[in-house]
Amino acid sequence: VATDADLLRPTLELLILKSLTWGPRHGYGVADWIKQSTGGHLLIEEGTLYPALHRLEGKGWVEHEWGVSENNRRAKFYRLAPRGRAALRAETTTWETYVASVARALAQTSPEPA
Amino acid sequence: MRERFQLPASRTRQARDLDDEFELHLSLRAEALQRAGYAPEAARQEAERQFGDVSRVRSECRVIDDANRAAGSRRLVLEELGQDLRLAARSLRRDRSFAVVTLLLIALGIGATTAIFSLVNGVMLRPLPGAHPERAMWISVADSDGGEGVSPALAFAWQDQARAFDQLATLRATSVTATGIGEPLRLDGLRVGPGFLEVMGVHASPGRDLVGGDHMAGHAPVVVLSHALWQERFGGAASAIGASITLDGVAHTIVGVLPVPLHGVGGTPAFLLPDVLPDGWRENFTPFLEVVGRLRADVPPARARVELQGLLDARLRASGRVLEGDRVQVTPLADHLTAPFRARIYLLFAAVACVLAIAWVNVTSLLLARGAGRSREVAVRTSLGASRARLVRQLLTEHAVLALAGGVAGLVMAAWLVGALVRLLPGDLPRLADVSLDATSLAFGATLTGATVLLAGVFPAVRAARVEPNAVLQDGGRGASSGAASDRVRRAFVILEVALSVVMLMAAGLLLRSAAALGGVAPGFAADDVLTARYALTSREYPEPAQVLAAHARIVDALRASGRVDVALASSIPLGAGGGGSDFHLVGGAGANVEANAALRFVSPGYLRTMGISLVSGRDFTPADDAQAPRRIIVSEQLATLLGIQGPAVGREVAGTSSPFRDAQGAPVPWEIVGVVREPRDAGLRETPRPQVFIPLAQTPAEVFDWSARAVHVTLRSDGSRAQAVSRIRAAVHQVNPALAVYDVMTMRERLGASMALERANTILLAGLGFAALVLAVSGLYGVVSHAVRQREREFGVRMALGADRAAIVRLVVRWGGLLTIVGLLVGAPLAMAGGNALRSLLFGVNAFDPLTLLATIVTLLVASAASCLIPAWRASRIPPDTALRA
Repeated sequence: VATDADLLRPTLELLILKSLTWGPRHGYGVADWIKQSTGGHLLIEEGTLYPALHRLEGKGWVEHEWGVSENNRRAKFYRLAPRGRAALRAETTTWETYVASVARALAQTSPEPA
Repeated sequence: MRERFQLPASRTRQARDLDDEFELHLSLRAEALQRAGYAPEAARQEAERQFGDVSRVRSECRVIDDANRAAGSRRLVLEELGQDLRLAARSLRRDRSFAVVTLLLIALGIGATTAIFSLVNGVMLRPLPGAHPERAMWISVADSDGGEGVSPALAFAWQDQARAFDQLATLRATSVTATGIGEPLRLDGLRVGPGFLEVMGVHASPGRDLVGGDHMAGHAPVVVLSHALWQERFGGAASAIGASITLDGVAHTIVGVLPVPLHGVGGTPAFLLPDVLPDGWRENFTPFLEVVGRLRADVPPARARVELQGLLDARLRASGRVLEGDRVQVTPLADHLTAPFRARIYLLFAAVACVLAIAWVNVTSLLLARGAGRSREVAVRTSLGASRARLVRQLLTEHAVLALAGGVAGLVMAAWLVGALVRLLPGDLPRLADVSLDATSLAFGATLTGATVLLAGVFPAVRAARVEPNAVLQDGGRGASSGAASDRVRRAFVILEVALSVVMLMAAGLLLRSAAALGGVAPGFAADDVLTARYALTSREYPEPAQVLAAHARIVDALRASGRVDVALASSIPLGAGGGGSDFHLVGGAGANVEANAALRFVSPGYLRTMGISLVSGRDFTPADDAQAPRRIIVSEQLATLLGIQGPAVGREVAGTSSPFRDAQGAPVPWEIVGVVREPRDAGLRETPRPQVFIPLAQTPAEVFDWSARAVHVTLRSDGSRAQAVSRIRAAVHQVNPALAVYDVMTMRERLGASMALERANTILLAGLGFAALVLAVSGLYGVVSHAVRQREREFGVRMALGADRAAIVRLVVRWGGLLTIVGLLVGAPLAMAGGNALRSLLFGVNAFDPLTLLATIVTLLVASAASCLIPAWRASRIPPDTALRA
């Protein structure tokens, strides 16, 4: 189920934006944050993160800058663009509504809506 | 921050970036795993496993990056364009007078040219309606007397044997009176042979075409109506098909309606009647038919012509006739239609193209001056790192904005001009009513706008961007180096403009002189106070000539009874329809050997007085010159001369050689000359009139009675208003027979006007365009001279400081501007001569190389250019001497 990339893509993008709210991160940093905060359930193949990052760049939600990593390598740091910050707010609301609606439906105990 | 606008990274750079990104990820993950207890080898393996397929991720990222970059560069272009547009708007707002002048110039050029193009396209270029109109041909035979027409014998021969045509059809003009549907209505239409509509490529709708059976003798009478007549008389109702319409007293069944007007076949016919060509006409050699044909696909008109000529020659030989140099002509119908006015319309287009060229030159010149004036701005931007290409693009954007705004304004102007043109031009110009600013014209205008950017915009932009920053910035911003070259170009432009306006003014001048010469021509008839109208008496209602003459007499009497009027009837009047001709010779003596052709005019007593035709000697006809009286004739001066009459002509006898003027045995009948007149200009003021003879209507020979004496013009000279005169004629005609149509109502003044309407409109337009050319050329000169004065302010200041007086400075500037004008005149004069020569066929009473017109043109240009130099010259003379010191 979790391998369905299309289904996961919006979720992954939302999480990437979220991960960048505390400042720029390189790809590994983003992947690690997602893994940690979702308990490793979401990002089964870490490589799938990169197409998502590049796509967000194309949308202008994320910008990059080259720098140096903690292990002294050339590293590409991603940063939330102003439009990305706005998108994150909007997407979060949508997500919460979605989750709440699905949860309410699943919690139903009788065929007729309460 | 502006990472998005980086130059496109090379492929290898892109690959390295991706590899670095993934390698960093793998190394950091491996390190983390090692910290968690993995051995280095195993940690690396586990990191790669957790990452997934690196090469797939890489190619996915590459595709996304490529798309991002493409979108980015599009955005970049748009962003730069936006920037350029904002800059252009700002800089044009700053220099508003320049922007307005340039825009107006472009609008004027494009507007006028597009409007004239609409006219050219509407009446000449647009194909005729119907399928493959290019294959419909007008076929005529020009004989040595200048007559044109095809005999039934020839038409039969062609139809039987010509292979170059899918279909050949005969036609002849006819007029009928329609009654039973409101006011009696005189209609002009065609009698057409079988296959006529196939030739035209048009099919009746609603209803059906004329078919073979309709053309059989004795078939029930049927008619096809024009769309206009169907709309006017039947309100476009489908029930009209099958309904009946009475034409010349005979009920005809309407079988079809033409969906489109048929142009090019002699007027625009209101109806088509099937023509019946009896087999007996196979030996009829009188050329009274017209022929149209539909060429077979892929047969050129020239080959068809050769074939028809061969058949004509063979037919003439077979019938034992001499070959008289009759020449077959095969002309595409569209060319036949436009032939009478093609030269004038193209002349108009050439003239407006000239004005457009001058406008473009002016705009280019203005842009060059503006570019030179901005060298400092350009230099600063260049030093700040703007590339030359970028600068050119930005200047070009500015020019394009101007051209586009000018183009739009021009099209608005064209929409108005087209309306004005249609009103100005004579309404009988075929297809004029369809002329509008349609999609083709708009596309033409848009193309001109694009051409404006290319022709007038590119060069000044490139020029202005070519600036040496150091030279300019050190030069105190005067931009001497770049300015000098573009000043040379601008001077050349002024010379070109002056040359072109010489050509235009010369052409306009020649046409105006022609108009003046025409205005001085005496028409030979009374143009004022004479009203003319026609009616026709059918052979069905008035079978006998005596009945026709009696009805004519009653109508004339009714008019005489209506008040103090002069009234007379004529088979044909000056500038009116109708009339044939015959050869005449003197009777008695050696005179019989000299023959001369004269136009036939059958007239009632008092016609010469009513029409104001002047008698040189003898008398007008009187009521005594009736059917029983001896045959009498009035000849025109020219005929008397041509026949070699010595001494008084009155009392001599002439005889006609054509069959109507011979008796039953074929011997010529003598006619006694009772008067000699000066012939009126009956084909228009331009044409030398043909010799004419006047014959009493009552003595019209029987053979020509039906086509000469039945449809006559009433000519009425009265002291009342035009409207009164019209109602008098109607009342008199309807008093005698209420079913008669009164038509072709016009005063002689109106006929004169109509005969010269196209020429007049053409002259007005050309004079207008010539004036526009003059104004543009002079303003161009003004621009260049005042620019030069500004450039040389310091020099003038020095001269003043050194004691030059103001008059000397004025003379200096005017002489400098005058020099440009004179060079332009020298270039333009030969061109104007050539142009005048091309106009020759349109001129009247003036030589194509008329020295007076050329002189007037030159003086006009010299005076106008001197005047345009005076303002900058005056300004130059007011430059304070200390300018030099302050700079």
